[in-house]
Amino acid sequence: MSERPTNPYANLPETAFWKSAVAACNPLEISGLWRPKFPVPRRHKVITAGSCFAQHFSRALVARGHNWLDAEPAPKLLSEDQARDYNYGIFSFRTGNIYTARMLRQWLGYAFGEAEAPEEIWKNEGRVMDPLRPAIEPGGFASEAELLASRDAVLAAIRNAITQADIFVFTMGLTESWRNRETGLEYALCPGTVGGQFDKDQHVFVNQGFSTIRRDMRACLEILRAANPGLRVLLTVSPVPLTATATDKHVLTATSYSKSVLRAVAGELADDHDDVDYFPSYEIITHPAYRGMFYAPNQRSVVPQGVNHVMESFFACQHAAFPRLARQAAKSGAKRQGGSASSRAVKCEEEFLDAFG
Amino acid sequence: MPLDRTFQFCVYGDSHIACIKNAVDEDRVDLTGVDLEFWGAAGPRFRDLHFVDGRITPTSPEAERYLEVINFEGRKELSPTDFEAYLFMGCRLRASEFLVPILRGHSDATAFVSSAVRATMLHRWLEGCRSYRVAREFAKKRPVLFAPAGFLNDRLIKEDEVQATINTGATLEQRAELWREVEAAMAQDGVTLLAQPEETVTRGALTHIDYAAKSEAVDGDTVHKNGAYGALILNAAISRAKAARITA
Repeated sequence: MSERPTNPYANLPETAFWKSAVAACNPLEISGLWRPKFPVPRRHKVITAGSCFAQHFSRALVARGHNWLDAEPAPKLLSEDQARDYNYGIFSFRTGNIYTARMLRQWLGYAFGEAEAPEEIWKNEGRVMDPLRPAIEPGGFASEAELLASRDAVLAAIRNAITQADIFVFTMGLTESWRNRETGLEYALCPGTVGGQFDKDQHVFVNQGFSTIRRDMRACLEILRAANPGLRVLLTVSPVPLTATATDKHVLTATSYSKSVLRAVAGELADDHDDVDYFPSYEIITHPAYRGMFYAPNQRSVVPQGVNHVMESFFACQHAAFPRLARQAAKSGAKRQGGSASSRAVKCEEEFLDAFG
Repeated sequence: MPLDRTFQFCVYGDSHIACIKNAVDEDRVDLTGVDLEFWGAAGPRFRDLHFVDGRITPTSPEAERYLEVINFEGRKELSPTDFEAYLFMGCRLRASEFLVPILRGHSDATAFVSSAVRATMLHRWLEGCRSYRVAREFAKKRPVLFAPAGFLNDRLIKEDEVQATINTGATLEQRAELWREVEAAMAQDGVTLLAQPEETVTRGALTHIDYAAKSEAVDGDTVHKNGAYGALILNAAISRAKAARITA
């Protein structure tokens, strides 16, 4: 007959106790922060969107040979820098940053026909900007027709990405946003900052609360499931503080509120839905246990070592939960594509020698 | 220059000059009054031809051997003033790389690119081609015509690749719009574009099999063109180069 534990904490693992899991550890050796619900094998198509921190995910996945899906790839003629200037290859589609749950809901609604895309556009010195993504093209578009064609492209890319993907990584960024008072359209950025003109009668500030964000995220999940029932969603929260707050609060406390709400929503969604998980990149960067070591001197930007540690933790937790992934990662090296260039050269020479030989 | 003298004309290029040579060998071009020479190299050896001190020079023994085969006059280097006009043929400037993805945007929404992106692509397509930069230098002293390598050959390219990359419904007007952009960009550098002749184009952005170097599917040469194609290019090139001489 086995002994009964004296209390519910008696048989818990070390990770349940601060002393053993945190206080006794070098911060870089804190482990087991995440028990993933589902594996992320290399063959699975992963798409990424959200706040700027999401782009680190795509880079890390590509670097490790994962199948990151770029549904709106840059034309091959563009250099890497040029592609980035035009916001290609940063997320799986050219939405630019999607900071809020409402913005994600808007994009998904437009892409899957649940809402009409807005007619509002911003004009400035002969150029036009998309209020949904004013920074997507440096200087804006040449015409309204071009803007709309480009928007059609991104909506098609969203549909392709969502319907083809296995895993959608979405990084939640902000609670603060600006909307059109009349239409309710939420802007990617405050009008008058990157584009458009601010009008206090037309534009209204909104600091979204827990229930609003949860409702928007649930609506997003419904759209995603309808489009792709097999899609799994991995939520993260951006650890990057607010650049500025439009509340009357200090930006530090406003940041704390914003991130806390997003973290709570992400946690609840992960608890409530089997196909939704939360990865704690936010905690790895922001928690006092890490002593701020992953922030640049401005206490806002995340240094590359921080991003690297986040992603190392991601894969370590994946491998711990799904050992076959660790074996696969150890086995597989970078596959080289060979043969095509040399065979083309042979054909060139054959053709040439036929004519001149 | 007096018009009664033979017209000194040079075709410079990579393996794509083979179609020009075939056109000549097949008597498809009237070369009366034209003194024609070929200069260049094929395959990786084309990269060994460098523009140094105002002339193109082979930088490897292999490239020199190619030149011995292609240039019957034993011309070791090529200077802008060696001929009255030049045709740059192929020369690693591929129509498929610029036109095809943009034409694709007319049929595939996700392939749409803005005019700013298109302009950036065009600039990089030209500036990224070493031979184009050489052509620009030559054009400062002599008329230069540039014929980019034509679209890939229909029926030799795999159909699934066609479906994935080619807008088979691209129209003449859509192609013409892009060629006009290329022409204008080249004109700023003093270079004259020779666009792919429309009669050789099929299914939006492919070259008709009748103009493929080897039409047997087993050969799988999706790139090179035949003498009929070469004749269209060379006739146009000589005609326009002579016109440039007359008006010069």
